[in-house]
Amino acid sequence: MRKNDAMNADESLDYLLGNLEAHERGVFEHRLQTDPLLSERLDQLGASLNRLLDDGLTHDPPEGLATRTVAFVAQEKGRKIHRPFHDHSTGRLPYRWADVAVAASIFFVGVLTILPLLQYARDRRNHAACAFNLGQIGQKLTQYASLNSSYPYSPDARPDDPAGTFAVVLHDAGLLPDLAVLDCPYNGACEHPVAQLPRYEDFKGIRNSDPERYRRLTGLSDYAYHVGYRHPTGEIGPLESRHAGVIPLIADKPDHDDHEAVKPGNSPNHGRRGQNVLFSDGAVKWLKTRFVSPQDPDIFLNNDNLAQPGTHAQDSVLLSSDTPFQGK
Amino acid sequence: MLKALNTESATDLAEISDEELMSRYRDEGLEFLFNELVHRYERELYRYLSRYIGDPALAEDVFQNTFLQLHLKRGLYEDGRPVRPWLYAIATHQAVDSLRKVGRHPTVSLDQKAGRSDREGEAANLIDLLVGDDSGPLSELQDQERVQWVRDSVERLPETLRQTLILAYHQDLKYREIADILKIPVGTVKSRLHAALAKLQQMARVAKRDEKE
Ligand SMILES: [Zn+2]
Repeated sequence: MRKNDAMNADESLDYLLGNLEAHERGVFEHRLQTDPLLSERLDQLGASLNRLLDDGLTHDPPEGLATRTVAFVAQEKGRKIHRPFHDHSTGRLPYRWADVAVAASIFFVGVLTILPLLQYARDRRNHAACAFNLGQIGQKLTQYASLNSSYPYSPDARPDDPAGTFAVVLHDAGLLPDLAVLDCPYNGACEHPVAQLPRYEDFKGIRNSDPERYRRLTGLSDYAYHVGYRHPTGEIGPLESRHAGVIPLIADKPDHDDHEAVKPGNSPNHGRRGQNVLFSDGAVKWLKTRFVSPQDPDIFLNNDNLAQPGTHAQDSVLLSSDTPFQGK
Repeated sequence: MLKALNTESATDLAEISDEELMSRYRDEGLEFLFNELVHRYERELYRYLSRYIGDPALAEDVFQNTFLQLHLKRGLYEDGRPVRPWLYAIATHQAVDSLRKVGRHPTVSLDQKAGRSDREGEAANLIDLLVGDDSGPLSELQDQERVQWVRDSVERLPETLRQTLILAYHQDLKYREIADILKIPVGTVKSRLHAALAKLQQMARVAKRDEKE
């Protein structure tokens, strides 16, 4: 009897997953018609499997995937040396503009199919350019930190200065010649980056004299910056150079609601799919979620779930450039 | 010229099996044969990779690289060898590789025990577990909560169990195809599948208990 149940159980599952051979299937279906108990159990099992496994996701392929793939392989055929599978963590991408042009000349591709292809190539290039920007800023931050005891912070130690002050400080130190690196090229939001940065001394003055310009200046970057943490003394202050093992320093900025609070989810910069993050060891990584490490589960919030400086040195919090170092 | 060739062959192409396409591509190297294969598997393989990898952009890269590998390895194709499991094997290999590169290390340790245990008795217990639990711990959740629970819980399964589960349930592959893809005995496929289901059911019970507290 027990043996019989076991057989049925195994068969029921195999039946539901389409794993019975044609003749076994025939026999089983005949039993189903004659055995209401078996049939009822099968229904329950099916419903149970569905509850346990249906994840509600359809995973439709992106537009033009097959076409791009054929073009990609055609273009790879053209080269003798095969590059290794590309590495997301370095932001090097296998498929670039020039590649599309080559592929397009090899293949007959209609105008309608090539448009998404170009859009795609542009997205990939911009994604890589964003990682490149972060790498550039990273070099300068490392240089700054090696000359100073901490990473850039409000020169007046004012926690109500905006996080974007880091760019002013780097600029003052002659470490930020090209302001375009402050713009994530993927999102297109910051189309007119700030042409010139004032010195910190003037920057302070503008706060009262020209609030509109100050607002524009503080919103200067698409990147969020490490706003420091609460030191054992109880004071909040910058990330010290000596602490920087592998700590996130800048990243695509978080999303904000109308009250400027940090919204859940990934950065809006890359269509909420994730964020590029620069670590203090110089690596740029693509994080698909806000999770950094068990000590630092949220890159945009501290361990008290607030958009405020970290609760300890390993609890990094990266805030948008117009948010004060002290948070909201 | 290429276009003319494409149009001419379009009508008959649908009639040709994957295996014949692959043999002909190996011998003739014509693009339209390859093109046909890519299109045939576009939805199915992308769905697999996207669910397995959990990142659409990375899934696309792996999809492209899978077909690059298929192209590069075409000389190794033996006539009549089923294309589907071969393609899945390449895709799975590429996927595991890419997950490693982005820092997610699929755990390869696992249920050697499960393979040796008494599967028949195990299946009976599993089914009891699945149908016996009143109406199932998850039935009280709202649909939105439930699908979120499923995503989170499947994500927490050991890598090999998750892999087998996706292949068997979401991709509708036969046990022997999965065995072929993962290079494991059919018995191990079944025991992994059962282990995955048992684990999920166990998590569902715990979730329910937590909620009651
Ligand atoms: Zn970006």
